[in-house]
Amino acid sequence: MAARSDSPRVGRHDDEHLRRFLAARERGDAAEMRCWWDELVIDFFDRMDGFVSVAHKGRLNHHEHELAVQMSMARFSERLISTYEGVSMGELVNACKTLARGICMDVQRAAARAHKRAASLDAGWNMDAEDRPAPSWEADEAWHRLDREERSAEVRDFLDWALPQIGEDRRRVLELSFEGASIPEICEELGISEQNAYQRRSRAFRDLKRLKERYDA
Amino acid sequence: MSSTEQVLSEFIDAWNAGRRPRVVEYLGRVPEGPERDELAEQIGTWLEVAPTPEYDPGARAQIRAEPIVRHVFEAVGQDAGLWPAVLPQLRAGAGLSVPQVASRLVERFGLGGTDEDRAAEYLERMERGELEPARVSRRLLDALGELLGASGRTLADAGRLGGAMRPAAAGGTLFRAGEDAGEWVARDIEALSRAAMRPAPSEMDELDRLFTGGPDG
Repeated sequence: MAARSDSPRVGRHDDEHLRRFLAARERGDAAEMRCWWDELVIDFFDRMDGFVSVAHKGRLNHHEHELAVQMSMARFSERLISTYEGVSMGELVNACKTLARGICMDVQRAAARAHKRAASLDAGWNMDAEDRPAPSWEADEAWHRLDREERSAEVRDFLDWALPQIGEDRRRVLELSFEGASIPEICEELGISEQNAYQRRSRAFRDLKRLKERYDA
Repeated sequence: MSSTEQVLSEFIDAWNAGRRPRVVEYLGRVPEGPERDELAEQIGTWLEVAPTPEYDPGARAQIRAEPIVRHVFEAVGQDAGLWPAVLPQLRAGAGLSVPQVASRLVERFGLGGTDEDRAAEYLERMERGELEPARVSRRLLDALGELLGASGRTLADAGRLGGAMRPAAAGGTLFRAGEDAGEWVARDIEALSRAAMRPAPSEMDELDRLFTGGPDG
């Protein structure tokens, strides 16, 4: 396979950060916890920012987006410190996605309400039920729920299950993508055109999404 | 505008190369509507399964310097976590002033109109990080969250952020009595007896309980 000199290794260093953080938490070593927690926050920031963008699909303005990311990072960070019971990055990524989605919905509703309020100064407390923030105190236990229900959603388990179900052409593109290959490298490796590589990758992700929905169900 | 397939591939390549692509920018490259929604879904699928790139030290430093990450890190050292950063922003986003929030809370909890000023004072203290998050009731956080567009749990996590990693307060220090212990013991007993004779502080009312009565207050 072609050398990928410009690509950093897409590794599992974040697994190591999580493992060390959890070990420090187990020991009650606050200084060590802090050190590895910092690394995890850095590992997750771009992904969280991405999940928030995906959740609102570009419909929040810059300020609202930043606020949603900030609150998502706050919840993610605090849950990680205090109640996270999972052990894998896959679980953490799932938790990250769920938090981002819930917070985005809240921010979007609040933005819509503020809009309405600007239109009618009399609008007050009595918002419609669907305008209320989604999760109530008792029900908003996404983190614990994920701990219990989404252990099986470990990424590698999912991929082991899903990849064999995807046609050979698309699957190779996916596998190479997970290894960090860029489009020119995929083209070279598989002897296909750039256009074909774009298309296979996109279709492979459509397949993967469909399989993920089945897997999660 | 580029094709969805091409944009997805460019995003994945940039992610794998550790170039920190921003989802929102890539979404902006395709027209709003079904195409953008599909791209968002595909990028979301990628973010769920993508390995975290092994960022070089420069990229990690760049993430560490992001305002949101900086706020999260700084909040660990603060008694009120992220409240001073997040609450005023949420309130501004909701288009409400402190007195307006106070007035709605007073109405929500069926308190007297005279409580509005005190509620506003409490809210200002919350925004300045002068109220201990652990003492603010869930009822109040839920109600505030409904007004500002965040769940009570999100607000709680933002306030508590990093508390478990703060250095523990120094434990009590025991002194062995030296010479003339009788004299200072007598002074202490006198001070205690004076305190015991004072009238008890007035009982907390409903508003105090909401802001300082603890999670179940």
